[in-house]
Amino acid sequence: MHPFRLLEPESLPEAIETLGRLDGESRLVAGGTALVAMIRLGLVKPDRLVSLHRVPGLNRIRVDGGSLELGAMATHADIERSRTVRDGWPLLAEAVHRVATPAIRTSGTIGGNLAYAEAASDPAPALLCLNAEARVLGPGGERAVPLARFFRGFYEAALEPGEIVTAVRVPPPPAGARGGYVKFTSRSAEDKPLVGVAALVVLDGAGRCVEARIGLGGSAPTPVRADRAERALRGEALTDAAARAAAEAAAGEADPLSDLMGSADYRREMIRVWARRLLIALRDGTALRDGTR
Amino acid sequence: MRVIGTSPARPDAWEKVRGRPIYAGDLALAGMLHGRIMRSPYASARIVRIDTRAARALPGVIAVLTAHDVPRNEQRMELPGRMAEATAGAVLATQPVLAEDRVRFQGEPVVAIAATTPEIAAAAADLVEIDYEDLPGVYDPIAALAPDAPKVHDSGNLLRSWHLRAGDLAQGFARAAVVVENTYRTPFVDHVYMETESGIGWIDGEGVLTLRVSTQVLEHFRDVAVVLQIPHGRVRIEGAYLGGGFGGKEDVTVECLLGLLVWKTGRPVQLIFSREESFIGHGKRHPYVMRYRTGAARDGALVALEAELISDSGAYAALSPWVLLYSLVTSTGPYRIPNVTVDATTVYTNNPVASAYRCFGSIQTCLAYEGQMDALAAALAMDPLALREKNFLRKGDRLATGQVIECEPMLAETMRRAWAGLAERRPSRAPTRIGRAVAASFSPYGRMCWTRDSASAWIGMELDGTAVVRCAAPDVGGGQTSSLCAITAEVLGLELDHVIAVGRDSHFTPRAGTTTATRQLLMSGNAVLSAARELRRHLVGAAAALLEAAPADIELAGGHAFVRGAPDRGLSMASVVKGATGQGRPVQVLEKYDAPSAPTIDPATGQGKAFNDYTFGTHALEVEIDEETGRTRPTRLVSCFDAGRIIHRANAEGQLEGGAVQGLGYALMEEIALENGVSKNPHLADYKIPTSLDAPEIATVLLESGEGLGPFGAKGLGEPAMTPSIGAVANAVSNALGVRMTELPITSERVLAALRAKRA
Repeated sequence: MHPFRLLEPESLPEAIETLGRLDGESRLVAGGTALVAMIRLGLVKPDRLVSLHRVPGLNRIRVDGGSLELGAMATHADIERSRTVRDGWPLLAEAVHRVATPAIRTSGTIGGNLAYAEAASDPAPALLCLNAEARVLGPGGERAVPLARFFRGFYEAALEPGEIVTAVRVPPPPAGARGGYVKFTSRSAEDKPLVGVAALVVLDGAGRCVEARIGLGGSAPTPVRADRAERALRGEALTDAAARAAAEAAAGEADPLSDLMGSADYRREMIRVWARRLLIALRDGTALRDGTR
Repeated sequence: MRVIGTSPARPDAWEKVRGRPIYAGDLALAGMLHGRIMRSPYASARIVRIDTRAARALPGVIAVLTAHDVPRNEQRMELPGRMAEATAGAVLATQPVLAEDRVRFQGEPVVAIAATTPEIAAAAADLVEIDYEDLPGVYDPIAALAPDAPKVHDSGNLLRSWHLRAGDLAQGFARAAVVVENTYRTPFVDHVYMETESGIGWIDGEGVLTLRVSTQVLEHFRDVAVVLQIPHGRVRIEGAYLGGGFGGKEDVTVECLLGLLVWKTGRPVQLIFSREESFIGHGKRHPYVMRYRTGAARDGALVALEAELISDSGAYAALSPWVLLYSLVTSTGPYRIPNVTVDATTVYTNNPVASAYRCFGSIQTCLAYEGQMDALAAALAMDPLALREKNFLRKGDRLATGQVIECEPMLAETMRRAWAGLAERRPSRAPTRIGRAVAASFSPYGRMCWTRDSASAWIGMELDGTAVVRCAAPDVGGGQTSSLCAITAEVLGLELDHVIAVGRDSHFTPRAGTTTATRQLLMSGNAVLSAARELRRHLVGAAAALLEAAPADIELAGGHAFVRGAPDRGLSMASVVKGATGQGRPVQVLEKYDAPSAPTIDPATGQGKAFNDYTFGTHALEVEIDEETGRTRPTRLVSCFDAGRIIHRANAEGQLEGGAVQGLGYALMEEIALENGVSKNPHLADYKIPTSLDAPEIATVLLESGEGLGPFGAKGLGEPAMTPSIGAVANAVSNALGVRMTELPITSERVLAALRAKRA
């Protein structure tokens, strides 16, 4: 394993200053669940790791002006167990609960998960559906990046050198929203999702979709919203046929990769199946078994 | 019996639960160096130049060794301890310790480094310059047989063939009412033990090179001695508890490299392979292509089998010829088939080296022969269980090799009990399809007859009346040690915690051979039984003299000796032992067990007795398939085996459960993904094995025919427990889909593709 120095700034300004000062290869580390594995495999060889563990308050979970604010260092376990999240943002709690295993959820953080910008993220599709935004701090100050613009490319987040994700802000779900997340693994139960599908719908009295949002993981180089599928649903009655058409649209606009988990064609087919099943389950208020649990 | 067949707590169980055993990689010594191996990143290349100067100049680097530093750069990879005359025409299976001018697989060791810290060893590796020049390679065993294929070895790519001939094939097929033909394929898979290959070595005060390593085979001390060109007795291997072996620690792993580094530096060295190294460094299970053509008469009687088996040995021979022989002998399945022609070939490629893995060639064939049985049943419109029952081997029947089955196989009963354990069939309800099937199987326990296998054990009484067993049988986690203790306690009438088995050491414990081939209960178990009975004779003699009774009237139980019918007037075992020494009787014995032997089989016809006996058993499996996603979930598995005699019930049940889950992984998800010999998934992020969430509800049923060759009539379960798994999965999925699945792993995507192909 490539040797590195671990730097532990005790405040955000110090962390920004530390990152700015360093030359050579340096990396920010949060839970380390992805980065340490990459260092072990020799995929990255940082000389220094800048840890955020000593920065106070970065793992806070709170509600601010009706929005949920997750400190970037909040772990998946913190989030899935938070009463606040479970009551107000159950879709997020459900998606975060599906990340890897308890050991990983206890170390891995929400900020790290998003900054890693992995296509097969479990939380990202749910956060995309919830219109979340990332709070980013850098030498030039603070900015907010809507999650829909945060994922720039394959393992690439919209972060400039020296910038840190400090928090994730999640607005309250619309009144009457129903949400769900499906993680479909094609090999063992302990795996990344072949595809992940999150959906949030609001139905009016006549069963029409007043609001429809669909987020996809493992379906493109980055986590994405399925815009065409959403447009196909809005204003329409959520019939079986409408669910099928939306799922078809989602599969059509997906741009999946082929890898050892499955081919691009299979991924597309799985989006078609799971988006349809999820929408119908949300409509009917039934539980959905995704075959691995 | 008081101890045999019960489930006493194993002495190692609590220690392992608490994380306390000192595994081979856990020990540290003062002044210890850290080893690191540089391996070829290429599957086929010439080594043009190696420059170690910069690495050697780095402070903290003690040794940077290449092929030129190895006294005899030839590591033997044959069956340890086998008889010299019994080669059965084997090729000389060797591999360089460090590659000299050519590498033949990705992961082949090229340079060995020892440094004062792991970090310095890693930095030194970055400073070693190795220039490689691409050589054309061959990555498919069938392509490798083409006359113009690149040669992996100068001798050519055909490593070994075996043939089986029985009856008259043409006449057999002429009698067939139905004939089914399928080609079955299996992939390279890894053992994925929790503990990677590891060890520490040092030179002791008497100049003996001592290696404490994670191994199934203490007798590799000889291989280290040959490589270093020193007398065998100058190398000692001390075993440790293993974090899993499954055959992956049967061949030499760290031993020769570690021995070389210790010998050259004169200092203690620790060598631990990373998970990635383990994936590319040790032998895999052989991929097979198996073309089967099977004929049955109208009443279901099997009349003919024609099969061709081709296995990929990878870059070196290792144990491939013997793995292939297991395939040959088991190719018919546990059935009577009068007319058989089987040709089996193993071929060199530039893929990873393939060698021993639980079931040793007897599992791949189960996918084929059990697939054929269900296919025949469908063609005959016959119940698959009835078809099997009609053809099962019974006591006195002959295998296609001519060997008479002398022990009761109990096949029909294992199948009926396994099937009954699945309970009522649930109806399929879209989109879920239910599939159910059985797979029967047989695998040998104990080595091939011609190896003239033997094991020795020593048992001594202490003056406090407790017993010590010395027997160099590595405990790979299957409970080998606790079984030896149970046998001793049973025979000597001792409480189990008054028996300890110490040491697994090539210098200080009597040779008991390898913990491989499902042989330890048979071999060491019989040696311990024999020693315990001999010791009992002496103790009973002493007690008879002390109690003034006839030896025939003496009983040993509960740590006491007494005259039958008068247990309250007995002597403590301590008194008996003191009495025995006073009477000049021995209280320590050494006994040897020799397995029955037979000449090698005829390589042209396969006729002869390859193994002494077999373990028979059946899996019944229910799967749920989501027909829209192809996701297959095993929901219930029943494993029923004839154990012969259960020695330790919980250990036996554990073997059945573990074997089943390991097989489900092989069947459903595991595969080393290779691209021109280079692994794309040498890590657990992309090589998936089943977790508890993937395991079905498993029920185990153990039968006791009492007809095994082991102690008290026991057979072996370690490997056979896994054998039927892949046949059961393929058959259950095929049953659900109405399509025959012939290729592993049966991934969700393949299931969906099969459904689509059927609809189209």
